Amino acid sequence: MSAGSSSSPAKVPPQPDVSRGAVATTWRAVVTGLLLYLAVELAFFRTGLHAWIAKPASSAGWTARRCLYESMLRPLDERPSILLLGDSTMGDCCAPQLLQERIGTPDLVVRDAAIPGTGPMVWPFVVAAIAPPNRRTLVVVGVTSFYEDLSLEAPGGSAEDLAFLPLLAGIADAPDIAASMPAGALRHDAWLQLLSKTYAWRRDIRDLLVAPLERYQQVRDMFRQLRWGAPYAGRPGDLVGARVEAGRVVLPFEAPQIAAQLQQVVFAPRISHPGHERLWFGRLASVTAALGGQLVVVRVPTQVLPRADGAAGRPRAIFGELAGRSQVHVLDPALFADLERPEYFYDALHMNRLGRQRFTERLADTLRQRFGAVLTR
Amino acid sequence: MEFHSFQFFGFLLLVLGLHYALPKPARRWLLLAASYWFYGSWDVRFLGLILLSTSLDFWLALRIERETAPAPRRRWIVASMVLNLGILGFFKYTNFFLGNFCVLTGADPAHWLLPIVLPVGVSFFTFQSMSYTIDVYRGHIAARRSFVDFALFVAFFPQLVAGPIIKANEFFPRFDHWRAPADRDLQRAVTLVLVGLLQKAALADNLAPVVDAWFDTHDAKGFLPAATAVLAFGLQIFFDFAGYSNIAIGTALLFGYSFPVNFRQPYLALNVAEFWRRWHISLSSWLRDYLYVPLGGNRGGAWRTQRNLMVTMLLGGLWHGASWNFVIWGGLHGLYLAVHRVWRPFAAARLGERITASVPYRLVAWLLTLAAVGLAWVFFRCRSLDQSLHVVGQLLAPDRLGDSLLPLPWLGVIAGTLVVAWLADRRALFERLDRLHWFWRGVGFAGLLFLLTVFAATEGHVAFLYFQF
Repeated sequence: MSAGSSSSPAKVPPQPDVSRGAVATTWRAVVTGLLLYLAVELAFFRTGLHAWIAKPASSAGWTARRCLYESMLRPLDERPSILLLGDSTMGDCCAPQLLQERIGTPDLVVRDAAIPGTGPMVWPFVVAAIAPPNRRTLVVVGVTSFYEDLSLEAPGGSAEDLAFLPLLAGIADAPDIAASMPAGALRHDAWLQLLSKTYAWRRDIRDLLVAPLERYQQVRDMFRQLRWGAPYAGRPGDLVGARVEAGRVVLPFEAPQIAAQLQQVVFAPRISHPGHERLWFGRLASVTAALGGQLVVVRVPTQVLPRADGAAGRPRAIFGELAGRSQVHVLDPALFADLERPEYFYDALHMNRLGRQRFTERLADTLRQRFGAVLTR
Repeated sequence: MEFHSFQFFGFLLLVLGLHYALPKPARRWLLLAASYWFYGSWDVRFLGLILLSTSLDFWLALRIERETAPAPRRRWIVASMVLNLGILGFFKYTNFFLGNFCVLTGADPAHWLLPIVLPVGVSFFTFQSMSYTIDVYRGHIAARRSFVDFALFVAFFPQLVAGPIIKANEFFPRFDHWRAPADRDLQRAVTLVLVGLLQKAALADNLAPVVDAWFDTHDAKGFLPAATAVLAFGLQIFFDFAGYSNIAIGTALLFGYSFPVNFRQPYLALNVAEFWRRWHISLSSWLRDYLYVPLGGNRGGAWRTQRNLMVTMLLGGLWHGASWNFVIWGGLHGLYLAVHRVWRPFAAARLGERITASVPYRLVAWLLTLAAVGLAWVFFRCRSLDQSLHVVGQLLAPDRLGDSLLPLPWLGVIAGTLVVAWLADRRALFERLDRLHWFWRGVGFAGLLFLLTVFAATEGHVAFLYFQF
């Protein structure tokens, strides 16, 4: 604290004369600033230009890979096509090349569009981004959550869903997406992300600015892998010996994370959000129908160990509703039930190489039998 | 309704639009109504408190002015002090004293502590109101005849909840000779608001999780985690409060009210006295004018000056919060100032200007000042004396080095910020920017907006730190 004299009457500081012309320069600068911001927003983020350098391992990067890079390398066209949709469990249990060979339809194109971490809110946007209008298109969506123990009317969206949407959703989608988020910060965030793509891509931009060289290498490696790398063949390993003892999952090896996940699979109640599912599965069916294609819903095997209560649970209402729509087919949920065994999984949710082969063969046979005519007409 | 919320900017645009659309006489009413709305948005119950405080001080100032004899004038100013300090004391310090009473007597705090909610901004508006009655008492300003004018001075929303503390003799001359903001003012206002938002949302709020995680858990042991946590907190509180002040000053300027600067690159100070001429300037000048100088200032010899400094800083510490940690923080700064006061003439006499003006001396002085301020921040940030001593122990007697909590990019940001601060301080950076062509200023605004969009911390809301005071 410096010593000083006590306060004295202050004088009014001289102020420059106000002229409207002079004041206008600040507003010109403000408007210029806003226009420049909008220009960057439109040029880089709304055109999808930034997506070409998105972080490959991120949610948005995965979306860019499926919807942008792979579409560029292997575009879907007027040939018969199968689009495999879902999260990482679908990506692990279905082998596109094997499916294509086993179905045997000439010129058939099978595209893996499964994106790890996604849910029904993201899938309609993926289909709209990838698939051109084509009556010989099957959109096969693999769902892990088929049964429910209790249902909640609360919105079922999450921050994870939002992370996939910067590239795919536009302002027109904002009301539905925001309404699907729990009230509060997340709903507010959904609006912001859809109004400003710069904001939606902010985490990706931060990472890019912090380590641009690393990003360059990651993107380069991913493109190399896409162009010349061997296709994904599935993961080795299995859970043979996994069992439930005294209310706890026991594994034959030390893997606490897998054990904890299996504990959920066996014991946790399965919660559904019917309103959320109705909206987004409904949107998926509508988008597929608008292309002229057929939507096929497949229950992906994830029940590595039987449920502790022994009950299968009741199928979610949405699948009954979908089954009633034209151009939508819900396959028998027990179709792959015999594959739900520890020897077909490498972790608590994902099928291993052997499970992948078994699942794909059976799916191919089913699709050939039921939709062979659709694919060849 | 905080400054870094969309609600606030919606509110601001509405009030600005109405302000310039309405005829001049109606503008004061509009601003008062908007200010009460803003204050009520925090907690409508507190409106009664601010109205009561304002009404009584308005009336007391008129009584002080009307009286010509010293004794009744003194009586009325004492009444004003009792009123303002009574409000502050009741809401802020009652439970502090009761808690200490319980500790001393072993009484059960559950029976003694009162369910008191601290009204937001009470420390700021009571000080502001007090400055008015004191200035009227001293004859520096005339008592206002218009209640609306005075109520607006107390409640003007840009600075109501966390300052800057505007003194009556600074506010009313500008208020009485109000002129529409000039181009330069508007440009500075927009820049201040954007820079303030960036300081708060992109810098302070991104440092908050680092600081909170370490101070709440102390998981990482060693000198470097402790030192970087203290450094991070020092930066967080600066960016938080300076950001708030910049938004407040910028917002006021949009309405044509020019407030004095509240922070002037405080971490470039070469001694603690200089630090206080740069940090929370409105509070330090308030304490100087209304506490230090009335105590005798530096007029009673060395010992009395030291005593006055210490009393001022201890009370300044207590103003920040009802906790012994704040008292210790103030006491440490009082001690630093006392040491500096002894050292300054000694260094001038023994070392000479050639050494004290040299770069190495200044560098050492700067680092020592940073270290001293940082050490005091430990007591400011910690919740208890035990926790503070634990942190100080890690800083002063490290048994191991540990790892920095701040990754390399953060250290780059800190270095960049210091360079900008240095340029602003020594090379009049902002005055140079003022002279830029409007297009380049627009590019600058776009850049600030882009940085704000990308770097604003959006994961979890962090309130302005000074709201708790």
